[in-house]
Amino acid sequence: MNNFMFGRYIPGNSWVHRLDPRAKLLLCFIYIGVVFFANNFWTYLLLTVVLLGSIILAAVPARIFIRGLRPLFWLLLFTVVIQIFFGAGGHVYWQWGVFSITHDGLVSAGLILMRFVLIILISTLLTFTTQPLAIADGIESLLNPLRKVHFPVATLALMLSLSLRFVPTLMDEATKIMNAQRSRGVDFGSGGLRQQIKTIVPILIPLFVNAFQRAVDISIAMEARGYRDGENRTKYRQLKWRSADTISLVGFVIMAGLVIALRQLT
Amino acid sequence: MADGLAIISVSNLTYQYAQSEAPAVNDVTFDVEAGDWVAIVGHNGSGKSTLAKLLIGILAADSGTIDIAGTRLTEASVWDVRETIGMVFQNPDNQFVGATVADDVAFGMENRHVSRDVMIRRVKEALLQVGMWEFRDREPARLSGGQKQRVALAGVMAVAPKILILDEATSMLDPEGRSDILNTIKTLKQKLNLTVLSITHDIDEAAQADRILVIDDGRFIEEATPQALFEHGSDLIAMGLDVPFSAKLTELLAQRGVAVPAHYLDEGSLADWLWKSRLTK
Repeated sequence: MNNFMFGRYIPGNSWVHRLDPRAKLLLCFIYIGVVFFANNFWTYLLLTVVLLGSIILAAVPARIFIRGLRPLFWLLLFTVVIQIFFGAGGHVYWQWGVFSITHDGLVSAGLILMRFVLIILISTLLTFTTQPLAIADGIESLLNPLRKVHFPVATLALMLSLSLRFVPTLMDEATKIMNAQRSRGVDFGSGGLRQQIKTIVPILIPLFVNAFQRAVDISIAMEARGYRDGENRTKYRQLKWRSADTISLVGFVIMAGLVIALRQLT
Repeated sequence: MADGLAIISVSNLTYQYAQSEAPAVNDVTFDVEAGDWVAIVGHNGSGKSTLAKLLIGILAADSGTIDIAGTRLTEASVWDVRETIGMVFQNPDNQFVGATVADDVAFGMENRHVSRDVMIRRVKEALLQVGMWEFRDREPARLSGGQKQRVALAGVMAVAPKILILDEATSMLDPEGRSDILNTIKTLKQKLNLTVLSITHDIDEAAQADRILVIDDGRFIEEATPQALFEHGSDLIAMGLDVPFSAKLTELLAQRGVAVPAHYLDEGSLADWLWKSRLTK
């Protein structure tokens, strides 16, 4: 688990770290949306420059980003290979049965790879620089308009924040249960598929039962502390929108406009 | 006892779980006066925790009444009653609602519609009181059990209840964390004139109390001061309590033929007694 960097938070106090989570979520959405409009060298160049600029502003070392990409390496390779061999159209360089390498196939493989990498890197940048809690706050605040259609935003936010709070607790518990079962002779990660699935059961069931017990306990504790419903509560934590947020949002909107304009070049 | 000062007044309380054959709480009557520290002790399954849940209205009694600070506990008044009671539960992990220490302390106030400015001030006050202010931005996963219980205590203190109920609040802590929490509670009690009702196995916690109520099979079987109760010596084990160290020592001395005093001595007075008895030899 320790080598798994994807989705982690790297503490820091850079320009990007200090941005409002709402702003960062919006920036991320804009960027990912615009990636799908990019279609030529200049648009990708612009997107890459903006991404690299953001990474530099976030002051997160490049090797951590590369470690974040590593678990996705095989997925990337698989998609690219599929695109190369099954892409059709344009000049045919090589052919064998249903497999062929064509000019258009190579181009679309390149595009897909580029898009994948850009999207993964920008979302990694979001999780590296934003605490899960802040992301939850940001999501809640962005969902606020949905209150108008009676969507239970406050309840959803509470559920989100409770789940996030219990992730490390449940991870610890899973490790404890695994070690306890190991000490009784359960052998994890060996044997055939059937055998391996069977060894999951002695982890899963106690974990579920304990989670139910926790849910009961925490709901009693919440009720004892005066929790009635998600609505009508005051909030201790507040998000602050600053000028840096507006500046970066304007910057990304301009970038989006430019990408759509440059799209016409080909 | 019922002299009008009682802040908690329970009479003929009975509760039976749907699946069980015998009532978990059976015809229980007691009063707690404002500013008192009362301990309820009993072995596992004696009905202590059920009693705690009845007191804050999580469970509704089959019969009997509960009056808290002059209000009769009913379905309509349950939220008002909860305003006056703060409760710390057993498992430090399962009562930590907030994502960070400060958020958890603020949770109770958020529920009571306290404005944000007041909340910020009171979170700080409460965390300073329990000595956790420098941990305000920590997540629960990075705290020890004792620290989590201190945060739970701060969360309770921030809403300024009149009554503090400890439902085995120290039973999952190590000895150090336990005495730490008990000292904090003692200080808070004095400062804020709290009424403390502690439900416990722990001998040190019971020894802090002004009165001890012993519960067995859902019934109160004895009510005494810690002094009087600890004179039972090894009978305490049957009541779900440990024997205090000084009582164990007294008993071992008696076995070896030392003429020890018959009444209970705490560690200080036992040391005094030993000291004097050597002088007269």
